[in-house]
Amino acid sequence: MQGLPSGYQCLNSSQPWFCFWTLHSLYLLGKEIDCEVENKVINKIASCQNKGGGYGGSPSDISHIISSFSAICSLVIVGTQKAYESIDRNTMIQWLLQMKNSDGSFTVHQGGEIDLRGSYCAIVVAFLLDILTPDLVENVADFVSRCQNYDGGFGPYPGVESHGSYSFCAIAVLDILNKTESIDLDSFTGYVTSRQMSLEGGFSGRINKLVDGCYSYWVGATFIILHRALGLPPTSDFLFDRMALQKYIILCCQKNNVGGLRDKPGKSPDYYHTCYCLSGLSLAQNGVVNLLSNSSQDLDSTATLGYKLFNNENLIFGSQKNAVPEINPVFNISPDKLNNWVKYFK
Amino acid sequence: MQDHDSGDEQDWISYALRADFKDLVPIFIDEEPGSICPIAYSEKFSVTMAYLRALLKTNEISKRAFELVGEAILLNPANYTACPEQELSWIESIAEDNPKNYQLWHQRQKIVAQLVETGKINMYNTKDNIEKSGFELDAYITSVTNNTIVAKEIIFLNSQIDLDSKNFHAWSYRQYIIKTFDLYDYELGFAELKISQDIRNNSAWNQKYFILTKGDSSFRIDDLKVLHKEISYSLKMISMAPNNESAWVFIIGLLRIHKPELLYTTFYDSLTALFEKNTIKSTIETSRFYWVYLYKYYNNLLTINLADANEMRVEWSENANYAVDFLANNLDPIRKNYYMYLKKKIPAIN
Repeated sequence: MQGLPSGYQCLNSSQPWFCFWTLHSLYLLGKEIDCEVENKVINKIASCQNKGGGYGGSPSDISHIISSFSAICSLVIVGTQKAYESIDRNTMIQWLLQMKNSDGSFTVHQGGEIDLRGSYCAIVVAFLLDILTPDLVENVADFVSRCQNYDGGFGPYPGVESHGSYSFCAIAVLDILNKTESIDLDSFTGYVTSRQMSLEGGFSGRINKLVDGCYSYWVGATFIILHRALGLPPTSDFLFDRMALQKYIILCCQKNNVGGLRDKPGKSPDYYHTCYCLSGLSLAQNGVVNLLSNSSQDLDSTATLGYKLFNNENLIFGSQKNAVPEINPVFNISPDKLNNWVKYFK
Repeated sequence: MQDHDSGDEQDWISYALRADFKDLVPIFIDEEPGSICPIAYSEKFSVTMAYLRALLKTNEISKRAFELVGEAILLNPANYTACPEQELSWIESIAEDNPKNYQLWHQRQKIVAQLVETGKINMYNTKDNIEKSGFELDAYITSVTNNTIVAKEIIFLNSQIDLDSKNFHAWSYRQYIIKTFDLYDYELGFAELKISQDIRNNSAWNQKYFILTKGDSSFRIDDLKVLHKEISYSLKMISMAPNNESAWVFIIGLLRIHKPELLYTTFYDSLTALFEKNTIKSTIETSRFYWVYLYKYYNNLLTINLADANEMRVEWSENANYAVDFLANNLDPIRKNYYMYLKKKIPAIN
């Protein structure tokens, strides 16, 4: 957090992401952040907020839904009143509605592309700011459903090839909206379970592609959400091999004497992979389940926050020193920090 | 995270020293000392971005603005604020180094979409035009389209897919071009060519499905000839590589969505007929997809034939149980939890 090398300047338009990746990795490593860091994060994020609503990837960029997502998630991790008050919720909802299309999809920025990342990030931002209005939600689940493919997975846009990360975006949006029953869960389960590699233990992002440590979170979280969607009992194990995934992360995603985690052996660690390998490790170790119903008939609008440790069903590969704390799979934030945040809701 | 400005840093003349930029007041963003996650920008990067901010403030459209924006995008291709509505060929030159960048691919699509919306695309319509544009066209492409822009886009996409046959952005943009200009016939040949070059290229299999459904997820195929053709095509591919997930999910998905009644009849018969022809049975039996299919086949019999004789039902149930147990314990133990979940779904026998 003290300084990034110039190789990262091609990611100049991802500044709120650096805040999220580093803050969340520190949480997973059990490191507290102090007041000074908190204030610096709030200032950095505030400098990316635009007058017309939303956040850009840097102080000179126009607002982007995905930058807004990483900005808001970073502020939730900071969690203070000051962090909450730095957000202009009124302009945010106006801007999100401008980015929304009539078919229920979202454009990621003015003139930008349309895809499921936009749907996920917009719905998460609106949920975390308590501005999930009927206008914003209308047709969102329909567009998500249209992105489901013949193989059961989801692509970014109707017709485009299925991908583990877009499949995560789909099921996460539907979990927030309590609408997971609106897709073909049977073929979806087949697609998601096929992502674990027999030999490596980690997940691949697409059919017949290679393993990558970052899918430990994107695909791993999908399994936790799927557990709720299928109504599986909290006492039953998730539909993936938790130990095999941990082995891949611990043994293959680290490099001797170098900090951070990586995609696969032969690659170098970076902040993105560090964050998502650690997040995946958390999912594989902790038995986090959600006992609240996912049926849209039961109108519990915050049921998606109900993921918590059940019965201490922990499973840790190697030494206890490998243990990392739990996360909510939908938001990739600690359940405690999320519960702290909702106190700001009216 | 390549360093895009390495190498030519010495030849670069700072905008601060150039007479044609003298009237501009660059806007530098001061990172406050000790700010969070600061990036160590090179001088070239910070100066270029500072002059870019100055130009964006006045919305200046000029030759020097074009140069500056071009420079800024080269330094930071994800700078979605700066992309100009300019030439596709210029994007092409930087796309080569940035095949995974969202902004570049989207910008291409936007330019073509604008040509279509304004009707200007028709200005590129005659064969004359293709010849005048002075670049050599594949004879096959000219027989597919007589539009220079469309032909150029197809050629560009073909070359990108040659470089990386699973480039996600390229295939996605390709769908836009195929759909917008109704090139499904051409595309079927292309997708099958890509599959023949690598039968595990899932992007190409997905494209095949996209072509069959004309890019519309609500489109229903009811032509039996088409479905039968796809059954033989997929089984041919399955017999070459029985563990190829792409071929299995393609044919099973296609039948499940468009003609579920064929899934456990015609397809089952064609699959088992393969065994009689040659010695393929032993290799197919190493395929996890084959066993999952068998499980579903027997499970389906148990579900639809509730009134059948009990001894038949017992046999089906044993076969379904055998398939998932074999998968969980022998063939594919990493997915044991999934197979145990499937096992619980086998209907009970009285």
